[in-house]
Formats: sequence, structure tokens, C-alpha cells
Amino acid sequence: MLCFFSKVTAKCGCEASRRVLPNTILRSFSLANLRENEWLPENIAKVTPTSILLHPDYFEVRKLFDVEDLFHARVHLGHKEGSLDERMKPYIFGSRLGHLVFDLDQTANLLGVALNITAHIAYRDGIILFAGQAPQVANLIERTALEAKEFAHTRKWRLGMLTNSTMMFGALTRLPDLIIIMNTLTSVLEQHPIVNEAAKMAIPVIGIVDTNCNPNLITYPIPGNDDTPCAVELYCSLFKTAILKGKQKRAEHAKLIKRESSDLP
Amino acid sequence: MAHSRLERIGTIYTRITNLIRTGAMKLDERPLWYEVYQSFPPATPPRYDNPAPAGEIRKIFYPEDLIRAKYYSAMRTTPAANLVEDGRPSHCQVFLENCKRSATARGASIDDVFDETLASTRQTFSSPQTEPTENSTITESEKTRQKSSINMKNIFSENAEVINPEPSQPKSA
Repeated sequence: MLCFFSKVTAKCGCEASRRVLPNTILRSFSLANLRENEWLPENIAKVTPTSILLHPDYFEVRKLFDVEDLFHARVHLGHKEGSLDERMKPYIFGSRLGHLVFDLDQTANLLGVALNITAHIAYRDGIILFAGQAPQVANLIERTALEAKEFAHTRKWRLGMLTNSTMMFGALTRLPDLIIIMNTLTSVLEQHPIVNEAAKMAIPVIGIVDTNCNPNLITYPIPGNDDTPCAVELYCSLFKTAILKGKQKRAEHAKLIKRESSDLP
Repeated sequence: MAHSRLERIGTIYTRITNLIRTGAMKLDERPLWYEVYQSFPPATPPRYDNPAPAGEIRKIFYPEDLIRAKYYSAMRTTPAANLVEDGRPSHCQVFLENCKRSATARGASIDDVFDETLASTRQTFSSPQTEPTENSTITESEKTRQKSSINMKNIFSENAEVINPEPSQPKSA
């Protein structure tokens, strides 16, 4: 069953219990009014989600890995040339005797961006949905989501679970704010239907795209091997850490704001 | 929420931006990711119709590939490789190292020392005593045999509980 269904808003009112920071604080600052270095945590009034966005790597997620880690996890190994999707060409380093090899410098950069986005969405209390249909990593993905206190869907995707959610679940449903796909292909090598549905519902998608995948509708594509379990383990642990870092910062800042407001007469 | 479901037009960002611009969506109702996307936009906009770039994929070759090809055509069967160990050089790599070493020692080219090194390498591969992995596997299996022979004899005897590392705890309340 869809796990994010449990976060149905409006009717059951559980949104109120999840919100630590009120929405007005989240959105009271606009990018145009901020100057440089206002993300510095000395002044809590300035530590707002928007000012944090000025820092290139506020949650320090880029320090979690380097190119060597990716190499040892066999992220650079792609499929054979025959199954290449032409749109993946810019991310490929070359072909070694018919086997494609990813350019890990590009992968590391794009993975850093994706982890940063994940941490920011987690910080803003967004709902993150892990998806993927490869049976060999389904349990791993579900366990990762559980440990990060987020949601996962690794089974057959029933069409309309995002686009027709209200009818499907019989109640107003809060859709995920970010989707992370570990394998963008289904078991019959067609694109996972969640990619299309997320694009329709304007939900950003982070996806591991192998050489036989289409990166076009993936908002933040990460070129890399999506079949080897050790590679998927690496992605899962990185995304889990990024989410937990975002949530930790959120809790810290919420505590500061609470203290500040209780000091007021 | 007012929404355009035409995923083939523009990107998620341009669709939402234009909804806000035309007043179909209030600014306060914008999605949670909106500012995050604004601050960290993807390198390539996620458009449905992004074209595939032209150009060929380069072939990866190394100077020593000629020697490798020669080695594999001469050695029709190579010894079995251990797939469990990580970072262990393959037989071809060992051969290449041997070639390079003897070539630099003599000041000759690799082609000159190829036949000689091939003969010596073949000899090494055919004698399993010199293989370090063979030895380690034998000791490993011997160890396990010794370990297992202890328990098997008295597994049904009365003092079987002594062998059991975790004694069953008495059930209470």
C-alpha cells in the first residue's frame, strides 16, 4: 500500500502535528531581500530556510563522498553499446570494448546537487518518496526509507496513484514533494510510469539513470550504474544521510525559534 | 490546485512560474520545492524533448592492449579467477607486469621478451603449489574441517548443551 497515504492532510489534521515551523516563517523571506552571508547561524532570525538557500552546500552533503568511493562502488559501469539511449551520451566517458563507462566527475557533481536538493526538501519538511522496481534492491530501498523516516514504493505502480490520488485513495492525499528513483526502468525495460506522473503533477524527480535510460523528464538525473547492489547501497546510504542531516538542522532551528519566542514578554 | 498536466510543454519550473505570473496560482500556494529549484536549478532543464547530442562515443584503448590481445590469442585457457576478492590483479595483468619488468631489466622492447615471459608465466600457472590463493584456500578449508569435526561427534550426546554457545533461557512470566 502507498505509505505517503498516511500523511493525508485536510481531513485527519495530522499535518498540524508534523509542522514544527509555521508556514509563514518558512516563506516570510524572499530571495531578493537577502544579502550575502545571511545564512550564518549566529543570528537565528536570519536562519530561515530561504536564507540558507544562498549557501552552496549548507548541509555539507558534498563531503559525504568522493569520486573514489563511486569508483569502488562500481558506479562507472554502464551497459553495452547496443542498449545505449542516445540522450545519455553527454554523461559517458567512453566505450571499453563495447562496454560503456560513465564520466564519474560529472556523476559526482550531479550527485552532489541531488543530495543538496534532498537535504533542503527534508529541511522544509517535504515528503520524500523512494521508488524503484528492481526486485533485487526493493528491500534495500524500503529499509532506507524506513531508516530516514520517509516513504517508499517498490511494487507494481498502479496508474493514477499521483494523478488521480483523491479517487484512488478515497480522500484528499498529500502528494510527495520529492521523488527519488533508484531504477527508472521497469522489469520489462520501459520507463517507470512514476516519471511521467510526477512530471504531470509538477513533482521534482531525482533519478539514477543508467546508459539505457531516458534522462529527459528526470529533474535531477544522476548518471550511474543502477543494477549493481553495492552501487545502489551507496546511493541509498548517501540519500539517507542527506535526509537525516536536513531533518536534524530543522529540529535545531525549530528549537532556537521556540526559545526565542518564549523569551519575548 | 490549478495545474497544467501537459508534461511535454516546458519544464515543471516554467509551468509553475507561468501559473504564478498569470495569477492562476497564488504565490503562497507555490510548491515546497520552488525556491530550492530556483537556487539550485538542474544543469539541463528537464524538458521532454531534449534532443540527443550528436557525436561519437570515444573508444577507450591503452598502449598495452596490443600485448593483451597477443597474450589472449597465445593463452587459449587462463586459470580460473577469484571473483570474490576485490582489487586482485588478473592473470593478464600479472603477465604484463612480468613483461615490463624483464623488458626494463634487459633494456629490450616488450615484443622481444614476450615469448620468454609467456613460457615462464605458463609454467607458473600450471604449477598450483606456487599460487598463493591455492595455499590459503587449502588452509581455510582445513580449518573449517577441524572446527566442524569437534561438534559433529557429540552433537546428540547428553552434554550437547555445553557446546551450544547460547543456553536456552527459562521462560518466566
